[in-house]
Amino acid sequence: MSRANAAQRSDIEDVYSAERLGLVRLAFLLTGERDLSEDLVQTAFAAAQGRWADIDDPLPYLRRVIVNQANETHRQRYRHPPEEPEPVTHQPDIDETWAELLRLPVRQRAVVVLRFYEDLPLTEIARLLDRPAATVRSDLHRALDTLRRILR
Amino acid sequence: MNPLDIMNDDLDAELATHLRRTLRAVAGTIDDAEPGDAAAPLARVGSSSPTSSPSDDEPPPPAAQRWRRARRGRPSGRSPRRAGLRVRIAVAGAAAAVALVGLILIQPPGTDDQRAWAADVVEVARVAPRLLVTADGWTVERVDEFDLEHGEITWATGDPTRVTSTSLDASGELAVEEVSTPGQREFTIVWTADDNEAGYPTYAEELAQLSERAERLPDMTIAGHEAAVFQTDPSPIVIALWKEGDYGIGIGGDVADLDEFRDVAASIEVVDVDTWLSALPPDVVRPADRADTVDEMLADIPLPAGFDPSSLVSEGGASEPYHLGARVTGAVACAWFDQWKAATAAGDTAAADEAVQAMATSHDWAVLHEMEAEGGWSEVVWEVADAMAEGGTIDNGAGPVPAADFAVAGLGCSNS
Repeated sequence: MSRANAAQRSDIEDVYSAERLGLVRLAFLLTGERDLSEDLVQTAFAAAQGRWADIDDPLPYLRRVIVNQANETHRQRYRHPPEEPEPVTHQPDIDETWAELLRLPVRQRAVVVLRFYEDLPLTEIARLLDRPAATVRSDLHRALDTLRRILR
Repeated sequence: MNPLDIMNDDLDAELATHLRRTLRAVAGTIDDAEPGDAAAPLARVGSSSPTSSPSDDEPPPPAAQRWRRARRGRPSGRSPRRAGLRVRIAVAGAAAAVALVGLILIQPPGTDDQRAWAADVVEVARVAPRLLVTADGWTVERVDEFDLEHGEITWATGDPTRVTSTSLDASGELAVEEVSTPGQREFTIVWTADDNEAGYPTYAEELAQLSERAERLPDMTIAGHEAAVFQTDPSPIVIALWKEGDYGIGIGGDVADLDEFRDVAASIEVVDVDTWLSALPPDVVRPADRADTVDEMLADIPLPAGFDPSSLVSEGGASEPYHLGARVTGAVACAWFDQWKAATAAGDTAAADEAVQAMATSHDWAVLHEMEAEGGWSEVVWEVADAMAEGGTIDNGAGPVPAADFAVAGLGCSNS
């Protein structure tokens, strides 16, 4: 292994150590599935490794791969009816809201998670999802309208 | 259970707070003590190949996503063409999601009972498939594209009530906006020429994507053609495709259920030119009024040296106020953006500053505020202005976004 490769290797491992848990949590909020979340994060780092030297800021890149993979996985499973979400926090208000979040269309859920968990501005979410900012805002409105109506 | 007892004006702020609390609490259930989590090394790096990484060889987006993009007038897979008014409108439509393509209706004085359509509009109507939804209760909601290569007409039904919704905008401020009620359903008819240059998915491309990704339902006969029918998503998005001459026809129903889709699809009829055009939204700004309207729009907008607004008056095309506003403000914004880009590259600080300051006034341009309620064009102009003011990029904490991203993709400015 060359010195450059060793440094690169070290760098990606540092990022992995620092960011893996946060990214798994993000993936879980997007998918609601623990095992899948770990797989998505692993896949994201696998995608990043080959072009690590070209990635200026790894975290947005990794987020984008994870969101894309989560959406892709959801679409591939569209034939299967969604299972009733299980309580995860055993706080009734939290678990009920979480269940409703999982029932949102995956695109809307992704916007909600990126906005309110990652605290990303809509312009950044639009860039991450490769969609117009106004469309992302529309998705956010629809999601909030749905949640407001159901949770009221 | 009533997790949100929100009955006051701070509804969205409280909802946002509740969502943040929920997401953090749920995320907190994932920790390194979870079985299978703590021991997860970077083991699979190099051993798997993702299918959705953001790379140049990224596969085309799935059919449902491409369909939605196409419905919003945004070609996928290839870059949209530069400069053509149609494409500029398409970008505006993508940003706005509610924009209309205006059709020029030339109505000479004293001929109230007769409608003479502009030649280019008639040409589209003569060549493109003329399909109308005739089901009771369905009316044309918008025309996002109207061209020989590609067209998109959306019908809607259901509760048309507009309600006010507030939400957090990009800067974290609460924004108030009118939104459709969930009771409204939409049905879109799209035609795409096989040899279209704008990058819209052709019939063959669309069919291949849907066949791979979506559930195939029994074929239907629509307007005399055998159509392949797909359901693409758990939400009730149903798509039917068929081939008609040199065009691929797609219909997409964001409808209540498959039965409603079948009913509406069965109501589609092929009609003559005049019937078809008469069913579509007419123009608002007549050609004779265009010069005055452009002047009015430009009244509070600083123009760069050498900018000639006469072409905005003389050119034909769409004349609905929103689109004319997009055309006018886009031309000015791109001219300032071009000056800023060239001046920055040349180290001409004064010229660059002039452009930045001129674009900063865009937040006060009356036409943009008038357009704001209709769609997202104004927001894109302001994003370009803000990016220029902040040194060329907007950095929201997750990496810089170049001003050019907004200017080229959002406004149709030159990328050269």
